[in-house]
Amino acid sequence: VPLPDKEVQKIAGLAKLHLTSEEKRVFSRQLSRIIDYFNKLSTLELEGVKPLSHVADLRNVMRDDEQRRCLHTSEVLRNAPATYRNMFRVPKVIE
Amino acid sequence: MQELCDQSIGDLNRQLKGQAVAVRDIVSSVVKRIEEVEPTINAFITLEEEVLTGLGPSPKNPLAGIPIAIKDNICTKGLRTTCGSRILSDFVPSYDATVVSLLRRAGAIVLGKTNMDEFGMGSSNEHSYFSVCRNPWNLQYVPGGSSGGSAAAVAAGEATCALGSDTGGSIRLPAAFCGVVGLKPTYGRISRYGLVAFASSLDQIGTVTKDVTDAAILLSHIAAPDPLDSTSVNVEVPNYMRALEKEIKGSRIGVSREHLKKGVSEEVCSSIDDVILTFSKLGCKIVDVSLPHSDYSIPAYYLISTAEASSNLARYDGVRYGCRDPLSIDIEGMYQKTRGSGFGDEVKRRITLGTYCLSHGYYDDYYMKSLRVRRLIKEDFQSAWQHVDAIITPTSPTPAFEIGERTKDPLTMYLSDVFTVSANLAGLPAISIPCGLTSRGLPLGLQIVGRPFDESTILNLAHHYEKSTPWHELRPNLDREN
Repeated sequence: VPLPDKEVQKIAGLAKLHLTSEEKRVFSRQLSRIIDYFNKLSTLELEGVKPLSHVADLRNVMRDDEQRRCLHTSEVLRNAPATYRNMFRVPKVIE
Repeated sequence: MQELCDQSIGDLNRQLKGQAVAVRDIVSSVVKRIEEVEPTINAFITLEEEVLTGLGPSPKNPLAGIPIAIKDNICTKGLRTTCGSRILSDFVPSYDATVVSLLRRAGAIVLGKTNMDEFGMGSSNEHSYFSVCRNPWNLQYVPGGSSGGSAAAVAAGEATCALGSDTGGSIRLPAAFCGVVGLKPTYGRISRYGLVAFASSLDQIGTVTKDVTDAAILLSHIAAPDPLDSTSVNVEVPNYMRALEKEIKGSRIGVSREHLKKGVSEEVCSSIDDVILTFSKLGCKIVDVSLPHSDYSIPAYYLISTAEASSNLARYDGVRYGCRDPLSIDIEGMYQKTRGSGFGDEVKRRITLGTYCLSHGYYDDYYMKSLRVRRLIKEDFQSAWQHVDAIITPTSPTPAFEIGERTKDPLTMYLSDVFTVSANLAGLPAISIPCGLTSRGLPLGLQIVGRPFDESTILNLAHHYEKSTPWHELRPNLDREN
């Protein structure tokens, strides 16, 4: 099994994702099977092939540094689950 | 005579021009159909209220009075945009996506937001927080995904046309399953500003329509470079309507025999034989092409898309938007619980897979390898373009499957995308059009893939195919009890 429950737990932790023990068990089985299938990539000779992260010929797009209209604070905060004055409110971060 | 809600943009435009119908007649017809069938089909997550108020006399705008449905991952100002997810179930955008602004400016009427697999992750529309959407051709079957609601709505006459998004086949697969036309343009052809990101190097907005002419009409209105999306490309937008009518005699159409191997249903294979015959009769040359790395497209696609998704979906942390777990008192717990309860199964599975293949120790084995394979897949197509003008494949190895049939087995679900993901990996335009019905009365889809920024050729070929076959005229029987 390439991805045992414990490993799923570690990975989910990196992704800040709470999983129940049932989810960990099911994901371990399903993802192991998926990764087994994906291992067919290792049958390919890839020496010297350059990675391609993007198909478009990407360039920096520049614009003049001018003042522009932007969303009003009330609009920006409109979808926040908790706010305080003009700020996003979060649980205590510093002891 | 078909009801107005079952007619194409082209037909409606002609009648509006001749003043045979008014905008109000069209919108009323669609609204009535929605009231009749929506309780069983569930194509919409949110409907715009009062679409019938404020409709003036038919204005001169090119899309005036055309009712359109928008996939629920494309932002609409003031209208809830959920991405089919619990975590965004109350999210109301403060702005319109560029495509939505362009359509509104042309006079189109936004009806509402369509059902989808959560964040675009799925091939069946079963991974929606707002419950499954059903295939109008048979309610026991899936409409395909992830833009299932858009395809089902257009097929059932709940909208004249729709926008979807396509990361690995999410427009083309549901279009095939629901017997409508689905176009995924070239990466960069259409602005993604306001499209909620799933896998940014693969995502593209496209159209779902009742015929190929309508796809050309809509594309003409939304294809444009946009300063708000720096990956949109500043290339000339040709006249797609003129491109439709061009002569296709002598066009070279590639068929990849490697594609038609195991896992493809017999009915799908024989429909493609018929397609080849039709194009031969139309004077096209059928050429065998080789795409030797197509067997590796599924692993490469799922590794790249989940890696990008794991990064893109990091933004849902319960701070700036979306729901928040109310019980956590520390921030770490708040992040974890919010994401654990806000995302559904498939999204959690893909975030885990993507995080795994980007994590220390596996990055070279999985992520880097899949990027190298992506280059090989792109080069396969580049070689093919020296011999052919377009390549045809089935859109899907099978027709629509039954609801519940594949949800327990994610890998089998992923393999539904075997013919569609390559176009995203290589950034190519591709269209799915109806090409048959199975013995059980389910639609089949033909995919035509073209050169980068050459939507004209695939629309042209698709249009001529459509003119010589009856498939696009068929509509599902919505009265049937099933």
